[in-house]
Amino acid sequence: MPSTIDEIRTALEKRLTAAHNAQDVRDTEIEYLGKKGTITALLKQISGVAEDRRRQFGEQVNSLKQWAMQAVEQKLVSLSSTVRRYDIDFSLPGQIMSAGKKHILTQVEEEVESVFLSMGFDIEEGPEIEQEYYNFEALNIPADHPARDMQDTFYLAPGMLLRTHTSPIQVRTMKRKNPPIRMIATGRCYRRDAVDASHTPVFTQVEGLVIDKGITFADLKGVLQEFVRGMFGSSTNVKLLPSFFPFVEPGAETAISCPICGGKGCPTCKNSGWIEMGGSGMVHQNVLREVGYDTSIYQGFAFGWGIERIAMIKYGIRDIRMFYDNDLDFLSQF
Amino acid sequence: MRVKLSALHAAIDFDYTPEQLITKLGDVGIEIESTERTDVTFSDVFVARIVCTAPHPTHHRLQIIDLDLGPRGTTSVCTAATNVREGDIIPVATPGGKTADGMDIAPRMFGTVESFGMLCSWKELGLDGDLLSPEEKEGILHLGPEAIVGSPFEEVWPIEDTTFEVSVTPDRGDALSVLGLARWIEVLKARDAGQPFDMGDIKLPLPSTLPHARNDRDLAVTIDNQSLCSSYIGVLVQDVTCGPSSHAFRTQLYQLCVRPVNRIVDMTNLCLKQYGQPTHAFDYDRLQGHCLIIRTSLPSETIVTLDGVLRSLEPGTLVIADTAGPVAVAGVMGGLATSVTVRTTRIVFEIAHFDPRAVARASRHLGIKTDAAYLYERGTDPGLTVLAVPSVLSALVREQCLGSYISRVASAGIPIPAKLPLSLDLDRVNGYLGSNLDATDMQRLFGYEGITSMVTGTTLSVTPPSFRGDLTSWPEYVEEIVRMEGYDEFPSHAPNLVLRRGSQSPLKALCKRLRQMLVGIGLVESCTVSFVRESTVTAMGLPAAPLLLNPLTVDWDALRPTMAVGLAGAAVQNLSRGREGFASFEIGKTFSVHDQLFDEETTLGILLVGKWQEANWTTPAAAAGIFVLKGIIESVLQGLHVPSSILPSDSALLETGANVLVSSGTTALGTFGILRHDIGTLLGLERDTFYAEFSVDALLKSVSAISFKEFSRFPSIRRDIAVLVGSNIVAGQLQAIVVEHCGPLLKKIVVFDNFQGGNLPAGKKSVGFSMEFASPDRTLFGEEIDVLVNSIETALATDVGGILRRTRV
Repeated sequence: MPSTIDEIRTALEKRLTAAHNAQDVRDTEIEYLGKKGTITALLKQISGVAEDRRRQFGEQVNSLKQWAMQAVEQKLVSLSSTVRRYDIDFSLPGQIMSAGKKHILTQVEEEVESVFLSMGFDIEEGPEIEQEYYNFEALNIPADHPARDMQDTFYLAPGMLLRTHTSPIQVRTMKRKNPPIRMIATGRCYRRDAVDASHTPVFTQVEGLVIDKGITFADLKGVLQEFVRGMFGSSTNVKLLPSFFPFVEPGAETAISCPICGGKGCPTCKNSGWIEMGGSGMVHQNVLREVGYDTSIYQGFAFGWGIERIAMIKYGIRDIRMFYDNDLDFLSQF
Repeated sequence: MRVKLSALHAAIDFDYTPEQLITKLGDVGIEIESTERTDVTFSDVFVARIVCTAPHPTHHRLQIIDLDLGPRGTTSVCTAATNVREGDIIPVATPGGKTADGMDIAPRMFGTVESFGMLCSWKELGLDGDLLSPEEKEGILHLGPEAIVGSPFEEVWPIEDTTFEVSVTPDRGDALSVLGLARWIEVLKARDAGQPFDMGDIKLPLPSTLPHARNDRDLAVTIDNQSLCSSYIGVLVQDVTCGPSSHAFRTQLYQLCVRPVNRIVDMTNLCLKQYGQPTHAFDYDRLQGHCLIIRTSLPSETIVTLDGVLRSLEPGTLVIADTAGPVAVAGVMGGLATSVTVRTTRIVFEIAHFDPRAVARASRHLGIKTDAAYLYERGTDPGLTVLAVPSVLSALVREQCLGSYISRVASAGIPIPAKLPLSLDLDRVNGYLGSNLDATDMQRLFGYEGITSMVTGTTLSVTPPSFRGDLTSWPEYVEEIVRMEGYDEFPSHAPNLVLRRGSQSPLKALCKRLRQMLVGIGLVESCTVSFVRESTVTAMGLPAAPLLLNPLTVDWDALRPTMAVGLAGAAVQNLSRGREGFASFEIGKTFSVHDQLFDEETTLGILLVGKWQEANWTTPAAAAGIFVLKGIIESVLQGLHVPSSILPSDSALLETGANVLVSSGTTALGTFGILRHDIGTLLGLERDTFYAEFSVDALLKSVSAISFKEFSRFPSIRRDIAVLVGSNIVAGQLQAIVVEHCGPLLKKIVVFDNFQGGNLPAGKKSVGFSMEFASPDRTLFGEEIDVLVNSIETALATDVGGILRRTRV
């Protein structure tokens, strides 16, 4: 038979007064308010009390519970309210918990990828050892075309080379899929360039391709504008200049307003306010025909930029060789 | 291509400043890569004629030179120069003046003789040595007899100028000459004025009719293959006397940035540079049968080219032949046997139009790069230029007195058929550009470039000028519309693309996860070049790596079969700069070759050496070690939910006994261990280096999908045990026994101690395990766990003779 409400209150008061530490209080709390606690048991009885007394009894039990919860909390606070004083030398450094760093090229590559993923572009991949056909012929660069001179090539065997750009991935993707195509590809490319401050024989490219009905030159500009603002900030502008790449027509060199001086002119942009970033254009009819697309229905654009170049402009890096030296003083800056 | 501003002004009138010209040409796709301004930096240098020379009375190395300065009177100077004779026309710096290299000129005594000035070489005049012949750079500069005596030097030599370095894309062959650039300047002028292109504004002589052509027994030209050579003109010149070009011609070459050689070469170079038309000179008397046949080469034909090399011709190579065989590779290089020599008295100049692809093929096959081939490959003008240049050459021959008589012009393939018009669909053009141009707009834009057009309904019929060989299909005309309207003037809008989510391959996603995890652990990512040296790979004992046929350097003649070389290089770079350690990874392709078949694999390499994380007052330095590396690998594999096991391995990169293979089921994932010390030494790492290499492709196959597992919500019980066993028993074996006897209640087990030595008996070690027990459905009792521990004790004693040293709650 449970004790009366007043008795329970008195007993609980006594227990709490006697408690010397938090554990005593917690034990007492379980004894009264836990699953099998005294007050919990009273709560369970409410529904069994005769209807005429149920309301009064319920109010008394609930009020007891509320009082008990408050009393427990007050006791816990009073137990730990002793004033303590610390004397810590906060000028000392904290424990070292250093994370590493992704390479700056990876960081920029991932940033580029995330901008395009957010615009609904798929990321496609392809081999670094490539067939001459995918790297050149299928891209409207026949064997005897002077455009071959633009890209000095490493060969492994007749017909097998190290890709000179990520563009063969365009061809592979179009041969595999029907339009609409909306893709980018990032990856390592190789050109037989002597090493200097702006050339390394290994470099990274990002390649983009959009093919569908009614894709226009104006769309190319719009997408590049969006990409550039995603990478360099919302005030950056895009300018197209005539250029030649055999796999596009019209072809354009893409320049962006200098993110360093905001287009006013500085040493980085050679005082022109513009920085050339890479090639772009409407995909050449010969390329579309080669992959079996109907050129009377489908058209689109492509672009290819250097990741190193983007990183160099974005962070003011002057020498491309630094990317491949892997000096921690360099890598740790980004 | 280098050209001076004065040469452009000589070809067309224009008011653009050099800066404006650079911008405007850039806007139509012709890049001026660099400019260099040259000014007159000397003063009081005049043209003089040497009246007489006499030896100096006391200084035997000096001569006294009396000079005639025309209206400026006479003077005399002392000189040590040896290349001066009576009658020579030379520049002299006079007192009060100074030379380009900053020397002030004043009267000066040489012994008893006073010298009133200094004879000048090219250096004292600040001339561009690249544009001078070896003779002109030898001693005092000699001017031609036409240089007017007494004139200031800057009036007879064009010094004040701006030199442009023009860079053109492979489709802009039409801009690779002064004429070509002048045409583009005319396009700019036409566009600025809103007027159509007018060839009449070009000031260069462009005679449109050939001198009278004759095909007779003196010289016969036959084209066998009209598709590869549309026209060929031979100009025969008799009574040739070679020698240096006239002063006026010579200074014209200076403006064209052409170095003089002799009259014949200078003339051909002028045609090349000024008109973009390559020409070649044959010795007429060495042409067998006095004929030129343009044909493709026959099997096993050879030619000794001008450079003295015997070359076998690929059958089908376009050649110029006489009755005996090939005398030139068309558009590439002439043959030695018919070349012009000092004994030559009769010359045939070749002016032709060859198929760009035929020239390119021959040039590449033979490995010969010449200025002519460069131009032909990019397309020369089969129209006006081919017609004009023979007359230009004839005029030059007369002016320069090269020969007394232009006797014959023999030609074939003339006239050039007019280009067929191409039909442009206006809607298609606008639908391609996203523009809204009408037929009038397009006609106006085409007009600036000299493209003729006619409207027929909704189409435009367009015909290019003969020099625009690049215009063959409708998108190329679309490009011209954009070029003339201005690339930057074109509208830009966001494409109406269907809303969709971009996707990436699982491999790409895995690489990103791996990088994220490894960076979280504290490793730095490296990016190293994909090349290695073949001999390094061989010395490392690895299978042959794919070799480059044309490596850049011997240090980079193969593709990396392992990440170890690059990562070791990165480590050496950092250690050599005084760092105490390096811990890095790289994810990229490694390459292999089997039976001529190349393969590439996405690979993760991890390399640890030395103290790789700094110490401070709270934290000791983290040093590389085999269990640091193992811990990294375990964290990554656990993070990816890849169950794995290890076995001893025989990786060529790792030391025996410190060389293990990590597998998941039957899939080998990678190896790790201590890098072989001889390999370390080879790569420049003379200390313990820990290395792991994993196939990311294999990892991808082993990554399992994450699914929720119910976990215990009841308190757990911990027990620590230490087992004393023979030191030959491996920890893994002990742990397997413990795990087996703990049964399903074991939640977690950790090896907290592994000790040998100290007070322990010899040949024994102590291994400590910390275990955590829990049940999914109830609170455990300590007693039941004690029972488990007892059974473990028994099993350890029975199976491996182990003794439980202590039990701790």
